Amino acid sequence: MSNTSENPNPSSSSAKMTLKTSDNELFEVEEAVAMKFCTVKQYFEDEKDSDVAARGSTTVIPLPNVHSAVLTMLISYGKKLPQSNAVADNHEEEETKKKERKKYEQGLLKNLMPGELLDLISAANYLDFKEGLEFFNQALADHIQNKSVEYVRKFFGIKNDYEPHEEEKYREEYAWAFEGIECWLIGELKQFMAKTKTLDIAGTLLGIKPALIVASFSVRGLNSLDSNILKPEMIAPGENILAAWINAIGPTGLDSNT
Amino acid sequence: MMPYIPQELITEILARLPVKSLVRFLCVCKEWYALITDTDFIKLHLKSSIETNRDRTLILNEDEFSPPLRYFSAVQFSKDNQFRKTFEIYKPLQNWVISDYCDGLVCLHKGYEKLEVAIWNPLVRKYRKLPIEPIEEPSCFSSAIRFSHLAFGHDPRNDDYKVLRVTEFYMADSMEFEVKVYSMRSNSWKKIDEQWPNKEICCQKLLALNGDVYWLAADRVVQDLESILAFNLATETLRLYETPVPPDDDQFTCLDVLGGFLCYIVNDYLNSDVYLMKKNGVESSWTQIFKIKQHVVCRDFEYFRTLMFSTNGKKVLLEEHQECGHTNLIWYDIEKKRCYRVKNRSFPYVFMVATCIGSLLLLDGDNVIDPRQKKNKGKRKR
Repeated sequence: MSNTSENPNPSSSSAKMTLKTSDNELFEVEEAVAMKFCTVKQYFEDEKDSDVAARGSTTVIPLPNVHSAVLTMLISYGKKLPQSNAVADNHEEEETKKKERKKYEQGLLKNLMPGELLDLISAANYLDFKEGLEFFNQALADHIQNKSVEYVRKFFGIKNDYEPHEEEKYREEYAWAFEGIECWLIGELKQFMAKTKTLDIAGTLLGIKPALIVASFSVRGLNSLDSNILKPEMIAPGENILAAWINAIGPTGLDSNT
Repeated sequence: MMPYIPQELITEILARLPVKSLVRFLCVCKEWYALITDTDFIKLHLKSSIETNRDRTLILNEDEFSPPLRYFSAVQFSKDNQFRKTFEIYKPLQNWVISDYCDGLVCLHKGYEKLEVAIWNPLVRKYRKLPIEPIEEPSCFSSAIRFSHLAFGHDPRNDDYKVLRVTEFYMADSMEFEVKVYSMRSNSWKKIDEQWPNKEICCQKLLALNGDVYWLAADRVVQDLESILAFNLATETLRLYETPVPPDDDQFTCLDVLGGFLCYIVNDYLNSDVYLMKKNGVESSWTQIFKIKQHVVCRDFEYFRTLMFSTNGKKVLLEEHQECGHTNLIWYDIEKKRCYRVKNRSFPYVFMVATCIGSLLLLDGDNVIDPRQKKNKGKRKR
């Protein structure tokens, strides 16, 4: 899926550059936006100096460390930044643009999974995209600010190299710093619930090994409404799954519930 | 697959965090501990705190006439100039008083003579007591009245935090000074032998700014002549500045710091003029930045202190002291020439403000143990 960029401002430069991502997607980007990626700018300027004859054809700049999904987001952020070649706006227009940008930034962060932030930062660093790096670094700092130590370790993939008694010592000494922080599990739950999931019909999958066996106690036979459908209509792997039930007694009244 | 984040980026991200988060993340792993406690990182973080006004906390220091409390009231300041809820900070040393503050560190002292001094980082909850340095009385001044002043500031040339103690000795016609400087790097006091001019310190406090300590001094001979003296913490020499305007007898002047500049305030019954030395060290750069008419603020205000500019620079936060003793925090809009009082019932009746900013200095100090904290130890939540 290649992304063709629109040309919203007729007065801006219509020169375009082509960027190729790690998954071989091609992106056509306006020069003004692409120049914000200093790595691209450097590459372009090096190319300019080297071969003047080949200037007629569009150079494809390879970005082997950047995935297309990440580049899409970086480009759309880059477009929202004040363009260096734009005509200077008066104070009011500047204020409106600032507000728009802030609104866009908030919307962007809302829909972003924290894991994606790391990809964006890594890519922005590789591309030397200063404004993007600044923004996403701040977003990540804001995200981890109130998180627990366990969350941070998991997030960055850091191994805890402290002995248990050493860590306990820190937690006691700085107990006040561990108060009022977001519990790790709640944080994960929040993220999970923020995204809605949809089920796609995958169809019949053949050749899966090992073949799953339906448990002996699960119901079999034909569906009473439509004999083309075999029971069980919906099934998931696993036995003895613990589900939630109220305190003293489960729904069936048996000692164990399945 | 976890993308590789180079250490410089981790440093960049961590430098944007408030102090509480960083203290907690000390135990993420040993690499992060080394990163956070590194002196260059601490400097970077402090710079970023100052630029973004992060963790800016106002400590409301009650005056010496109030009954001593075990906690300071404090209030944090958010980026959009809003005051958050007041909270309490446990005093590291009971019955000690705040003398000065700089870069997130607060200097405390005990006693009239200010022999016992300590430095405290309230946001990190660590403090350090300074070695006690006696006051050496000059000869022939055994029955003199003496008064000590303290100032605490940063010496950028040596990247050191220093405490300046000036003790004045008064006899009938003459006066003498004893001047000593403490350096945090060397953890020791040093006596300054430079000849001190014959001028009395005539303001409440000494102010440290950009490596110099400033105060108002009145000439003992020529009564109305007031000057500003500046002691440089690096070169340890004195310099004299003229005040922007010569004050009259019935005017009450004070020196303050505002927005990183030296500020001179002239109060009389009708107006208060505020001057800023726009270029540090350049006398000719004194500029009057605003004039407050008394009736705009309140009828019986005695004097005010300038605390800080708002983020957009259009308003100034003032600490207003009224004749009846009550203290208020007021936002003064320079263009509109109007005042907005900060309403907060939990502020103490009388206070002086000490400003803190997020800083990781003094992490190796002694712990401040809040007795209330100990009670909560049992209910640790995971």
